[in-house]
Amino acid sequence: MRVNRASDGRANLHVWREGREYWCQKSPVFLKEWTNIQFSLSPRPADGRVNYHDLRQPLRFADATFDAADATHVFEHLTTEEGRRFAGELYRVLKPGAVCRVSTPDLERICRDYLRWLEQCLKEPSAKNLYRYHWSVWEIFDQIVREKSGGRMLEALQRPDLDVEFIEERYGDVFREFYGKATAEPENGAGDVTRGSALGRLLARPPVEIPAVIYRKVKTAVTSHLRGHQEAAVQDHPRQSGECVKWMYDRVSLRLLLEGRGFEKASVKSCSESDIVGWERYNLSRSNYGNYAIDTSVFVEAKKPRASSMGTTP
Amino acid sequence: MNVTRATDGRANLHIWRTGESYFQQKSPAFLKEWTNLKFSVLPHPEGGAIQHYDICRPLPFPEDTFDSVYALHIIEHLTPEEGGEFVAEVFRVLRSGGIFRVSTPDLEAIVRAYLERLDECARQPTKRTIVRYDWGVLELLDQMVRDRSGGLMRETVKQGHFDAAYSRERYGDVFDEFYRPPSPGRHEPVRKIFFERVSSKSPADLLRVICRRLKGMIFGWLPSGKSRAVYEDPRKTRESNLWTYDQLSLRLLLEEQGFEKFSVKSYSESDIIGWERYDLDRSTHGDHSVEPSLYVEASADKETTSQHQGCR
Repeated sequence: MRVNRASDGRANLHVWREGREYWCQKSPVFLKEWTNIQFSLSPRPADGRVNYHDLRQPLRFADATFDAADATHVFEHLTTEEGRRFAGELYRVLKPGAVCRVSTPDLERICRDYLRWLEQCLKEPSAKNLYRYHWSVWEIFDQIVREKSGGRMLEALQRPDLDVEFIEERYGDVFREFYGKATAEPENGAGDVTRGSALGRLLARPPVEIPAVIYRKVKTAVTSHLRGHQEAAVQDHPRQSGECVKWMYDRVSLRLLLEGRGFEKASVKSCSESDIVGWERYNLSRSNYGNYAIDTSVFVEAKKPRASSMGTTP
Repeated sequence: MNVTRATDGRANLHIWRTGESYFQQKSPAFLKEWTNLKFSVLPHPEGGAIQHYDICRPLPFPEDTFDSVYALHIIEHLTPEEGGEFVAEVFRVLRSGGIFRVSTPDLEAIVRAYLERLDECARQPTKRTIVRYDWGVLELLDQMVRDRSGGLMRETVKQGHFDAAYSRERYGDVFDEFYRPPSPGRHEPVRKIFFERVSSKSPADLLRVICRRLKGMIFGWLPSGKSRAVYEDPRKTRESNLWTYDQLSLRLLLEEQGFEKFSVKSYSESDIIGWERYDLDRSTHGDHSVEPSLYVEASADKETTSQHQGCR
């Protein structure tokens, strides 16, 4: 994989899985200044500045390549064992002294909110409290147990009793993706929306890249058609597609994960704080619309020790 | 299917899935006086005091058959939709006024314990607090995410990464099933039980069991066979938890299917008549539960429920 350098000459590694809203707000920054890996279980060739990689496999970079790494919402889609290995890989490709930033949904916050709504409901089981209680239970495990893409949450978003204020507060800007998807589908207008933005994205690329993108799209379409129904069904299953959550983390377990691989000085950050040099230019976690996280998360950073004599991965 | 009657003439239905220590402690009580269904997705020979039955199917009893039903650690192995159908089936086979007792892991208690362990570990990350904290997270997630039987919990115990006193407090006698302190005669009890089981069967039953075992082995050897997948995937064998309930979600689930007079019980309390004789949730080793759980009961008042509306 090719290493992309920022305007200050640094090499930063950005790993994420998906998110339309995140892409819309932050891709101008990370595509230009970061080396990008999108977590994908179905391997495909790099598309411009995005590399598609199965994070359960070793990273295809030499040791001590990067000055910083940011892994956004990928660890929860790996099993604990896969997560440990991936953290070890991040450690390997980072230079001594480099910062590793990790974000995932915050199990602690989700659990505290669940207890709050449970207690509220036991006191006063109003429709509003029950709605919020159900949602808070789903936040703990709907994405673990779901057998259908979107799970119970997407179903709830498609119902008319949607508690917009509550969901928006829970999910920040990411809510817009779901809300758009959920409300657009009944009118059958969803196709137009995606088509428009896909064409827009295509035309926004440098003209030399366009044939390659078209070739890739056609190839994917043809191969996925040929693959037949059974395999397509497997790919659509949330546990096979990588949509399902396989573990959840909080400030303590992220710290234990990173320190267990040799990182040190783990600390919890806010969505706008980071020790990564030049972060104020990138600001990958903070919404473009205000001082809040694009996707509510726990953010933890740790450093690879400078003295590498003790710093080998245990 | 045959209905067993208790010595007082009542018909009680007992549904459970697994549990070596539970079986050892309580089978004398429930085998004699209860009708027993063991939740199993794999076919088993008919007969005996235990019927292996896939409870995602309608219950094999006519309406108004039972005076009480106890579903022990069943509901969390069903999806909420299957859970709703199961509860409706229990309502159907209960007589009016019959009691439905449910026990299941308590999401509320698990979350509270996890947050306590988290705070403890965040304040003071020592070996002890980390081990207890890791166990708290395992309790919350492992049985839902596992792809292999036993999951991370079995590995954790194997590696010795646990606090025996804490884990035992959380899991009760059940913890002894997957952790036995090393001792010279370790395998003896299991083997003895096996021979006891074999020698207590009639020759015809024995033949059937042997056939079943052989079939299982052959299917197990077949590469990528369908039954192999069923034998090994904990979601298919229903070892996995497909949902976790607390007192509120259980109440909603039961009331939606028409049950009334919902109440949370302790392991030793029940409105089931004769419970002091059965006492299925109290450990025979002391005044604690066999497996710490949430215990709830509700009653099937059929005359009043024709007008019933779910409260969701």
